[in-house]
Amino acid sequence: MGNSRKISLIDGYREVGEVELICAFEVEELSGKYIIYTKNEHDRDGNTIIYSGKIRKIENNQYIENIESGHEWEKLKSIMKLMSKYSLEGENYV
Amino acid sequence: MYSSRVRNIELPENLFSNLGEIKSKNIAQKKKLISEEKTSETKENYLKDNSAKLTNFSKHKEYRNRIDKMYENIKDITPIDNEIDNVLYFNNYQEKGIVVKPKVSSLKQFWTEYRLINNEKLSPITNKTTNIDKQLSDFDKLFDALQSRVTEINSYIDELKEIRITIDKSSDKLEKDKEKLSQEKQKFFDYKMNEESKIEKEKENLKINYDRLQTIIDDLDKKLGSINQ
Repeated sequence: MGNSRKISLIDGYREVGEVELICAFEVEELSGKYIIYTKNEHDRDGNTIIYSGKIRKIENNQYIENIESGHEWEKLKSIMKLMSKYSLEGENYV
Repeated sequence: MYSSRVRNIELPENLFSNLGEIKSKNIAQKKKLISEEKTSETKENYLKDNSAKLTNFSKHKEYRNRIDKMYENIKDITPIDNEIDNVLYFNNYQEKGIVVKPKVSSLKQFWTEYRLINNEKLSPITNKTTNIDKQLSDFDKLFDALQSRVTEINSYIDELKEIRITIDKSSDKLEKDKEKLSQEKQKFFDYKMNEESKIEKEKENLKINYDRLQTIIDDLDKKLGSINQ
């Protein structure tokens, strides 16, 4: 739990940034693989901002792609919200 | 890529406001309990509080129930953390995100718990271990029994070999005895023939002598007869 896994994001041949991986999973309903990551950003109220991206393998490299608006995004949102809900419960369960 | 124009962050539409209220109440209650414990107030007051009546066993059960419920609500996702490379490429990627209340460490803790229970549900380790131990124990017993049986059979084979050797020896002796008997028989037969031949000769001699003697006696009788006249 203490270890953070960093992922480098590269646009073409230029490294653009580094993000912290929270989780990676496959959603059978969407037949896709996704990651949730953070850049350790917070809003004014101190809440955490998390992002979600779709993973696709092309030849030997993995690409992060846009999540389509509509059903795919709604599903990912619901997953992130459930994760948030249970994480909060875990915070309070001490 | 990271200009604010293209980032899509959705604020929670009162999704967590109610939860926040409830949870902060629980946190306040728990803080009160802890402070009460530390002060000189009696244990009796501590126990009167409903949440303080939980035993360790109940807490474990509650935790387990919570985790099980969490899993049931999210179980259609499969962890694939080990499949993600440390480098991801992108072209025209537009980040989409949301704002959440929990800390990153809490999110990661949740994910760890989810992965653990997912592994448990997919392949129950305890049963596997038990089954493997039982199979190994059964295998040991079978092997020992087989080993004993093999030893018994080997002893039996050795006995059979001994018997075979004895039979072979006896067979050789028998052949020799047979040979000897045959020789003895032949000897006896020869001896018998020989003796019979001798007896025949003796008989003939005896006859000859008897005839001669008879002739002599007849002559004597004649001579005696002529004298007496």
